[in-house]
Amino acid sequence: MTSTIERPGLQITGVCKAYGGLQVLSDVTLRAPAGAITAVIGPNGAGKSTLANVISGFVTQDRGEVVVNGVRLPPGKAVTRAEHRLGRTFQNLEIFTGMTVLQNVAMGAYSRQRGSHLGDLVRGPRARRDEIEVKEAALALLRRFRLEHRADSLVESLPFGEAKLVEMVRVLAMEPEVVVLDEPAAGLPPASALPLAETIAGLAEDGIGVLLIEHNMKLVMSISQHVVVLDQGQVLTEGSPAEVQQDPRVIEAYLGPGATTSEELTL
Amino acid sequence: MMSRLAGPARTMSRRATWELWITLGLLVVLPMLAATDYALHIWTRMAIFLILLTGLNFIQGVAGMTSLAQAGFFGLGAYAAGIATVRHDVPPVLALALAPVLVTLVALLIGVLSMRLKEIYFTMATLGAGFVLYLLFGRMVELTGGPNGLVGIPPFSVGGVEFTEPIMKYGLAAVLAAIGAIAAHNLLVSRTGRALRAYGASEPAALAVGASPFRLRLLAFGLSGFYAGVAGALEAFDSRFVSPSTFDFMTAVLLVVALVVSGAGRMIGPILGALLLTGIEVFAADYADYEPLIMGIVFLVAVQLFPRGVAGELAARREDRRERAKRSADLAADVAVDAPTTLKAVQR
Amino acid sequence: MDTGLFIQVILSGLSVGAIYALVAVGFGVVFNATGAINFVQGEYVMVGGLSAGMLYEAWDVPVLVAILVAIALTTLLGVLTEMGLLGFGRLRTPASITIATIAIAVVVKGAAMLISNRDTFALPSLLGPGSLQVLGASTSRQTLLNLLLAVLAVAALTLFFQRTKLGTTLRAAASDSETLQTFGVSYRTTARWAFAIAAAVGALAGAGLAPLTVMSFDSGTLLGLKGFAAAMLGGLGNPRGALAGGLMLGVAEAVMSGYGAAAYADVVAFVVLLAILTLRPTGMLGTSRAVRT
Repeated sequence: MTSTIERPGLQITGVCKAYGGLQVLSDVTLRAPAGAITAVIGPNGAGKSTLANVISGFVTQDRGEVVVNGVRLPPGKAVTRAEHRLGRTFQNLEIFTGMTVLQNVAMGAYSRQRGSHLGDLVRGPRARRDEIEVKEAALALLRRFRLEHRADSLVESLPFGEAKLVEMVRVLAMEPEVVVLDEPAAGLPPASALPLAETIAGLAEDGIGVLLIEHNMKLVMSISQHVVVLDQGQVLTEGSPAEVQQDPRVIEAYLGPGATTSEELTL
Repeated sequence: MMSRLAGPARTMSRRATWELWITLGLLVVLPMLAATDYALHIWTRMAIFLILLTGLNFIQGVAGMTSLAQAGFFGLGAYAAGIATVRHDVPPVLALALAPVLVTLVALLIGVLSMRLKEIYFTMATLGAGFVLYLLFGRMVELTGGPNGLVGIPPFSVGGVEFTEPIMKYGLAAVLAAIGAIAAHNLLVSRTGRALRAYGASEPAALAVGASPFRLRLLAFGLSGFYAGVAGALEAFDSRFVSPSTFDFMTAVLLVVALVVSGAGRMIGPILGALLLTGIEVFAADYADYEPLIMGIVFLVAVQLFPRGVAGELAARREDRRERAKRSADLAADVAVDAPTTLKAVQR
Repeated sequence: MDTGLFIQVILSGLSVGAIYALVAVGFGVVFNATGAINFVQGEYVMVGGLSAGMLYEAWDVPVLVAILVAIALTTLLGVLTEMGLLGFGRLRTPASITIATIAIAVVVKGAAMLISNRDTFALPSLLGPGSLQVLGASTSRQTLLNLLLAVLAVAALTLFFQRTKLGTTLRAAASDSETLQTFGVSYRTTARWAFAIAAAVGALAGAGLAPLTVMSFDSGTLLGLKGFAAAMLGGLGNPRGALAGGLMLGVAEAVMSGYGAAAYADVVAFVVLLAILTLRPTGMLGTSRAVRT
């Protein structure tokens, strides 16, 4: 990745979303700077998934804006996110079945390929060179994540953990500046938590702004620089992992009133 | 660098390339096997069907959306070329070039209107469009000659050379079919083909990488129209007569079935389907009365034997939709605020 | 403007529109039970009209008996359709069932061509040949009968779906066939009833059409597609919507023919189909089904 100097990353300001009469997100403001991991935690129903969907354009917010590196992203237009270098993974695996792992990753570079679609009918030397570059880059990424031996396997033949990794590698092929990871640990066995943590930390080291939406507290507390706690659609508090763990309001939101120790949140 | 790419990493596109070579090989070999005037006439029909099905393959096979408009587009191309040459003395070369453009524009118009519909409704919209075209062929009597057909279409000619010999007719159709197949192959193995397939596999992920389904599918549908336009113009110059019944509902269905049974979405599908259609045509000439009944039975057996073949694409996408439904259920869980309980359970 | 002509045009539109309405009802019944679009629906109309006509003209069977036998035959064809589609247990998605119905439609049409030897047949009106004076316009008595048939059929089916146990089961199938199976009602049973009802209604339409126009083996396809357009117009799966859609379509066609564009009257249905799919795919009266991705 290129230098991270003064890249502001992702900025969300005053986002509101209601379904029917129910306010799922009210006035959410948060920031995920480049080169750092910002985590969003919160109990079920806090609005985490909706937030991820607003950022990535799958849900249109009622108010508020999503800004990446100073550019305001059009609300509810998921297809525009790639050109603004915002990538995301999905809570439920979203992979391109029927294609090989290499092709899946190459799809990540889709929006960076500038040739016209009609030009693909001719597939002139430039288009061919583009294709080769994309495949080379995809292979390099697969090597980095030790998946190169899987390059030609159909993606649906991979074990779940590897398939999730392919999904993340596909996002990297976009050369994103911001990624939103929606529950990356969901469905993974505990043994996979450590390699996953290393992978995510690696993204931030590359200068990417990471917004990590996660249930797994151990993962969140171990790698995040900044934690935002969402409760009933509002930012309850935010701070460093240590600060958040000590905050009585967080304990109450998670464990119910009456819980006094922070024992159960420190793992 | 190249050695790595030439390795198994390209198996899928290599299969497509093999299938392209088989297609091109058959176009060369078939007229060598039988080169009587009658045989060449049959091979010309086959090449025209090949173009028609290669076009249909973009929308039906790759994008996975059943189109029943292809017969209507075929007819539009034929009538456009026929009317231009008969009524307006347009040179055949120009007619061959313009007919596909007209059909493409019509296809894009219909596509813009219907592309956002769910698959079965898209199919019904294409059926409606195909039927409107078919009816117009029969009803606009002054322009089309009506049910009796349009007669007196000149042979194809370029620079004063008339393509009346069967071998010349075949050559023209085969060259265009080969160019069409090569272009289709290029598209299928490049990012555009990948993206078209990707949309069927995972709509959210395709959106997230920036592939616009609307534009891609419109492109696929427009291309199916362009190819149908070429095939139609060739048909007009080959038969030198066009009548509405060639482009009816039955033809639309037959095209889809031939492609699906032969392998929709694959490079080999169109040539196998074209051979099948040509076989049916030859057979039907001898048993005209029994043709519909036998066709129907064969078709029903094929659908019952290969239900995934016909509906595989659609079923896969249905599962996707169920996944999406699950996701909106997750969203509902997000909405149904139940604060304190779950985290403990997750931690343990 | 000549009011007499206008009323006559409207009446003949309603007469044919009633037939479209019956066809549309048939589409709705099968769609509710299976989620599929039954392309055999138009052929049911053809078989109903053609077989009644053959019985009457070739075998001298009394009209009413001919119609009843034709309805019975067509209903049997409906049951056979279900067996041909679902009897092998291989077709599971509405899309694959829909495609298979096209195959069966081709078989039925091909068989009808052989049996009828491409001859055309017609029926006299049950109410006799006389014409009817309405507001200064004259129309065939069959017009009245067709309207009556369509309204009665829609009313009967509406009652059936809302008041009877089988009817509510068939409606439930529309929302969730899996739940239905857990309640012990087999998908096949509901589907068979749906096809039988759709075929019977189709045959009724054929019997109502045969006095207005001659029937031949290839009358079904176009009728079926027009009926589908009517069903979409009113909202697929909604009997009252089918009635409204059918009548609207019939009148629109009659106006086209009555005022100088007879050659293009057939196009109306497909323009309507395209327009309704594009603009308001849930139909004028609306159903809850989502039709866009």
